[in-house]
Amino acid sequence: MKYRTNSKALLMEIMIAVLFFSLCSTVLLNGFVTARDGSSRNYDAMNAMIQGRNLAEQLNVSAEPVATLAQNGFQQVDETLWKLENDAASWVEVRLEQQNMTAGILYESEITILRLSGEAPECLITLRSAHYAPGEVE
Amino acid sequence: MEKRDFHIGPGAASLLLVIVVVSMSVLGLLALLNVRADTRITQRSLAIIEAQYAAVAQAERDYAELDGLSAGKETLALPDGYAWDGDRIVWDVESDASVVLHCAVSCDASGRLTWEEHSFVNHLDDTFAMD
Repeated sequence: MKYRTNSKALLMEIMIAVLFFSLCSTVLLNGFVTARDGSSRNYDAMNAMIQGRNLAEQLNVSAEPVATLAQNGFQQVDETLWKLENDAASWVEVRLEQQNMTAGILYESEITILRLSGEAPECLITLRSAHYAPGEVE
Repeated sequence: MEKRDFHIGPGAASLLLVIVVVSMSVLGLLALLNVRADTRITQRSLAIIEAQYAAVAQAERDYAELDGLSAGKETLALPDGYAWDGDRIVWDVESDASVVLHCAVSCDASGRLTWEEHSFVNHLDDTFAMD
């Protein structure tokens, strides 16, 4: 009789323990998922920074920025805007402008790396770069 | 020798549960704190890089304008913000995040300019100071 009473108490305790563990797991799992999302976002941001800097440096040393963009796989969207899709949720936009100065040509570019965050695009980094090519003066 | 039976007494499951939940809580907290610190460093790095590139782009624009002013001229009246340092023209570019870029160009006989110096100075001010 005593054995049966102990078994019932133990069963009840284990059931309560499992229920409590389920509730705690729900809260704790949320924390782990938040940490994982944050880590993934930081990783994307650092990758974006490296990609943006590499592209900016290539454009800075290039005599033909348009050809450099085409070589890197960019597609021209309009007169000044170029776009490269890294994957389905991340892409690079480059706005390239050429300005004729008094004594040369100034190439200005704005590199923006975006990714989809839910439905809306999120800007990871925007780098502005300019390169002046001195020309001949009469 | 008397054989001892193994029994899980009342309270053992609760004790085990408390240990597991506390361990998971500590691990979760550490993961969150780690990610939070990483996010701060990443955001700070991004802000510095963006500011540096903005400063370099502004310096290149200044150089282009200055080259246009000086090309083909024997004497050059410098605009505000520029100064002569021997045969060099020097100026500073400050970007949004207090990044200061020190620039210097040399001027040849025909009035054409060439980059001489392009260096960041004192960009770790209060904006990026470690708390």
